[in-house]
Amino acid sequence: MSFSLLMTLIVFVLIFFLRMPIAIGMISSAVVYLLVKGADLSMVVNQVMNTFFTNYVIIAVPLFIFTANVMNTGKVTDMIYNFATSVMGRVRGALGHVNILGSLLFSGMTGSAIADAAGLGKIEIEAMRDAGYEVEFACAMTAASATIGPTFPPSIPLVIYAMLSSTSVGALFLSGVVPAVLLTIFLMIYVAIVSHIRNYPRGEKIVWKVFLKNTLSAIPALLTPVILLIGIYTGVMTPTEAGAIAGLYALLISFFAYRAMGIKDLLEVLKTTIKDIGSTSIMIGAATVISYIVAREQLAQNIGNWILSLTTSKYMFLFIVNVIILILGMFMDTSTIQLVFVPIMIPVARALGIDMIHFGVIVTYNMMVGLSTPPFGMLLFITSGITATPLKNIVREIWWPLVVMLILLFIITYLPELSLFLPRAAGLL
Amino acid sequence: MKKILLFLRDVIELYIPIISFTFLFIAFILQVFFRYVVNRPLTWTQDIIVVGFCWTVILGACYTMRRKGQVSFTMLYDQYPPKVAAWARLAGNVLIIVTFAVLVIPSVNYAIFVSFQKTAALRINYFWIFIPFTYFLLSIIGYTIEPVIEDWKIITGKLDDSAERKMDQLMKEVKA
Repeated sequence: MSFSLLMTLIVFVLIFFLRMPIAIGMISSAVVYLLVKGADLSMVVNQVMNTFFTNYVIIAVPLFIFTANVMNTGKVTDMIYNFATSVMGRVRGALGHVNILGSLLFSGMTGSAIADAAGLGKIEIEAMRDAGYEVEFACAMTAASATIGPTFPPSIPLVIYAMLSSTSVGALFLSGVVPAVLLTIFLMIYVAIVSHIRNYPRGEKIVWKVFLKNTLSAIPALLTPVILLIGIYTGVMTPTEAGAIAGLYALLISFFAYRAMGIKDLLEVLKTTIKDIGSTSIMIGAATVISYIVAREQLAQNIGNWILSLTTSKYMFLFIVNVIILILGMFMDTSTIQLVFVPIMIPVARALGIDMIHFGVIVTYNMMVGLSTPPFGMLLFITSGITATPLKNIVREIWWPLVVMLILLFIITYLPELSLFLPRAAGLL
Repeated sequence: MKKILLFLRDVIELYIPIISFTFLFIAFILQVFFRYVVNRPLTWTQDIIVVGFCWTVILGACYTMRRKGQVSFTMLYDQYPPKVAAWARLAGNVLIIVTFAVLVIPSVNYAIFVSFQKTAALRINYFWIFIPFTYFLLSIIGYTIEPVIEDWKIITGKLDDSAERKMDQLMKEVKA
């Protein structure tokens, strides 16, 4: 290992010990590398700015962030909640099921787990608490079901993965559909069992008039994923353009169909969006500088060779990757895992003949499981924050949903066709 | 004077990113509309989109830093006693200030270096696309100085802990 690389690694590790903002710290460690190497410092500017200037795919990220923020400000979340409640009817533990079904429907619009938990999740938790469910259970189910969001299209992490692995966003989006639907079913089975054991209340009887009214009100919101997917797969728009069309559609229904937004709200949404973009996208730019160093020092190749010396079995490799990401997910933000660690794993996965689309689904789903994993799962903090429930109580309730999610992780890891048959049927593979 | 400077800061870090994002958003809509409805693809929208994206991200990142919204790993830091935490954050911030300061001149030189190029349709000089990076460096340095002063006060015993950690502690107590 060269001295310059050693210095970079030391600074990189210090980011975590000294609480430096990760994106800023990554740029600092790149500067240290170039200084020690005696190389031209403008390489940092070149790498960061050219990522934004030439990488068209990642422009989808701010557009989907904007869409999620509009959806959460408008009444879209209310409409989805009402519709899901009407669908579940008299089922025991209906609101638990509504929580999960609502997440699946909402995920077709935003692709952000955080937006799901903070927006729709808040309504669901309050309704469950009022109906007599333990608030810890409501929080745990909200966190677990928010995992569906980034797995089902559209998905911000899948767009970033497409950029990292040079794969088709369209194929990645389609490959997430079956795992997301399976997770919905698995979590609903879990809710059904718990509801039976704890005798949770039944939902309200379906009154057809109300059902019809709720369905009609929800149609504009429910059409979002349909418009997006048809637009992308008929070639009318690229996935990046679909992000803008989704944003426009969210604005139109929030302003005109639901009349839930005004110009003042829009300004607030834009401010929040800029803050979110400034955090997510700068990480992408900073990570490319680190990727440059990794490539220049042939670090990925060396790590790859080391892993290949341990095992040449792709099943074993996938097992190791899953364990590593699960452990990282317990402590780190998903963007850090995706932009720092996943690029090192991609070349090895490719060398082992693992399908890059399949690998993308595994990695993304696994990172989302990490959002609900104690002690530092972001979704646990969010649900704890919006309900003022002690974190330890939510952690007690999250273990079984986590087991359910891990069973599905195992299934999608070792049955690649579950993820691949849809993009294959669409002619994208 | 201070008011004018603060307003200017808002213009650069908040209003320009909002306007850039709005323009890139509209450009995308027009791009799809003209390609599939009017059947006359536009070329200039590409320029608006990429330039708008660069400005939104780079200048927006300064606003995020101001609002303390940049992702950090706080697990270890939160466990440190106040003085150790102050030393840790101080060391990290000094590292940021030094490394970002040495980047300032190269970033200006780079913007000048690429200024002979212009975008394909709107002929926007590359200088204007790359120079916001210099502002980003200066802004991050600026936002890092305040916590350095705060940490120094903790180390020298003038303060017992940082405002951020006190707030976190308070939130934990409220929740408990």
